[in-house]
Amino acid sequence: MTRHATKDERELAALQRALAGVHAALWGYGVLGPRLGEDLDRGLRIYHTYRRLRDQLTELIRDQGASPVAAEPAYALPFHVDDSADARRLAVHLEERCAAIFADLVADATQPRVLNLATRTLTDCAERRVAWGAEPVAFPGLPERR
Amino acid sequence: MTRGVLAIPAYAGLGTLLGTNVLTGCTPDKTSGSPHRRKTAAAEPPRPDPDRPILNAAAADEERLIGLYRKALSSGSIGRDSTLRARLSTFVRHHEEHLEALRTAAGATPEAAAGDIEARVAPDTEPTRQATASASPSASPQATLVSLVRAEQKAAADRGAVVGAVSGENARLLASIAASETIHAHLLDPDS
Repeated sequence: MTRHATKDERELAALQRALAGVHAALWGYGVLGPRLGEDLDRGLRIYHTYRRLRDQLTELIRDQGASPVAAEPAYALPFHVDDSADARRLAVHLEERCAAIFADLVADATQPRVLNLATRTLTDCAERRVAWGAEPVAFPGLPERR
Repeated sequence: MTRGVLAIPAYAGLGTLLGTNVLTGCTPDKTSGSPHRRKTAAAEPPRPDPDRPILNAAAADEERLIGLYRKALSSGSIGRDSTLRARLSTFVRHHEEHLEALRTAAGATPEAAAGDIEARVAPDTEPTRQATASASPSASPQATLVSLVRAEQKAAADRGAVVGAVSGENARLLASIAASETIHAHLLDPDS
């Protein structure tokens, strides 16, 4: 027997996906940070932003009586990160993927506080992506519209 | 289809099904909307889509923004800086894509859209009109940029304000457009 997930279940699943994405982004920034060279400070600031985001998502998930998804011990990098150019490219990649995950959270949000967090974070990810040197796109977070 | 932030756990084994699934798996395909929502729309007789007026109002804003940019580009008020002109042209293309996506999402005929736009947007157009007026040929490049920045900021705020009033898939589209417009504003802002 199949049934459609309720709206609350869809929101919770999207929150868990967002948290898993933030775990991966934190790991990624931990890898790329030391290779950033002169951009190290910006990398550190963003790392701390993602830590706050992780804590917010964890709380939102706990508020629904669920266990927040845990971080993996390690993740596979999409390419080798040797120098500062690679580090910036990885940061662009991470922000692009996080933008997409938070755009999906916008679609599945039912609580206003979740919708606000998702909308704001989508914009933040898109801005950071551009700050790392990527060209702006028409539809941040919507990879199917590229 | 949205893939995970990073591909897979480096050591991924069979025991990490949840983690692997979360990070490599696809989020539901957002291009076609939720399946049952779409099916319902097809099976039942047409009924007014409550999102349509909001989408049409957003489309009308996009048209005004495109007009504002075209005027700035054609009037010479931004000067001959080729980098700036190229950037403005890129942003015009973005707004054209926004407009097309909003019209498609609204599924409206041009006539219906025009009616909705007049009904929904007319009371709220004044700030954009002022911005348009200030982008006159005599305006300095600085003033023209400021007017474009303000128009983008207002558009982003207006999109953001209605994200909670539409269905999930349209909320996702409007939030993305708001993000795009926020970035336009930052990149054009002479003070940033």
